[in-house]
Amino acid sequence: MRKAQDGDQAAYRDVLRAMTPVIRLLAKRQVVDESLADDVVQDVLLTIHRLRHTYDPDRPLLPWMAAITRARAIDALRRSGRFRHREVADDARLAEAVDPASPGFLSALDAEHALARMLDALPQRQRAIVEMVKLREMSLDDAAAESRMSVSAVKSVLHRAFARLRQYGNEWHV
Amino acid sequence: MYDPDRLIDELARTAGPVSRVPATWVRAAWLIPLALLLGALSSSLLHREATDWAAANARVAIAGALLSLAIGTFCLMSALSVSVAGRVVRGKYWAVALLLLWIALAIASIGSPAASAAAVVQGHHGTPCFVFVTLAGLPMILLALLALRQTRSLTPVRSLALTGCGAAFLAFALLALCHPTELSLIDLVMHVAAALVLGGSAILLGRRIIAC
Repeated sequence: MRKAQDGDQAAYRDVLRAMTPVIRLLAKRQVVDESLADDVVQDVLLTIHRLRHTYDPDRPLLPWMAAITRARAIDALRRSGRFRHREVADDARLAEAVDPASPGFLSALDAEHALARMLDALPQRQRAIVEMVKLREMSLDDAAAESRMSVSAVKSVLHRAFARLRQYGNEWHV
Repeated sequence: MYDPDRLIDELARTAGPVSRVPATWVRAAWLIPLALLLGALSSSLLHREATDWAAANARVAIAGALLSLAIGTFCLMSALSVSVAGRVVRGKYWAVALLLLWIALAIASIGSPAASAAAVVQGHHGTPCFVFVTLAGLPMILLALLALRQTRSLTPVRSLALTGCGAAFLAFALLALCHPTELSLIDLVMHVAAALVLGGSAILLGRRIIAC
């Protein structure tokens, strides 16, 4: 990790790969849902990337990593809890609400509200990136600059967001 | 199962060298003196008489000032420490002991009820102390937010509550230099109220700024 902080990209890659199984294990202790655990792992990796300058190489790595994982897992559980309390857990009605071909479309809930609820299903970072790129029609470069991430990381987050939305029966066009 | 390798490759490809955050004591070594200086400068806008160190209760007042300085330093150092993931507040039981001692000294400094009533009649109803503490404490909070932004925080409310508390006690230490050695009850209440305002302000001002 010291080498990674000094700019050794190969060492950084190795550290992140070595950390990932441990992060997943720690995340699954708090988050039962597999998909949610995957989101937590992604969030933790991004957070580690943002906070890597705060790690003291003279101290053990595990408490630092575990604290970040715990915080992100709690955030994910809170968002998941809000989703469960507010949303209709009915995939058929949800698909109907956003499918214009559906016979029930006209009688479905307001499209704008449905969109807002779909976005609420996403973790905070994924939602922010989707809003920037798809709703505010920002370019990837602008979204990367605003979110202080690289363009590649933005693409990766978008990919995960779309996968999650598809999971709930919606098709987005990139 | 989600494969994070793609994300890892992208993060590694764009990662450059970073400047490590200095140790907490190094950060505190510039933060606390600068905070006291800013607090003194901002509170100098208020006209106040210097403490009469020959008065009764002067020793209690000096002890209270030193305790305020110690507690304020502890709180700010803890705020800096816990803003880094995985760190904990060390020495909290000692801090609690110091706080209880501070409370005991503050109560011991309270004058007789008659003296307190006379103070209210004369207009010493604690408002100037409230203004002093908030005026001195707010720049300290802003400075601490700059320091906390360097690390961000996974638990911003905890870091900011400690920051507000630290600023309040450092402001108390400055207040001791221009406050009667004898407290009135309303004085003490207004001091505590000012501390709560500083704590709340720190959380409101800083929550979005330092959240990770």
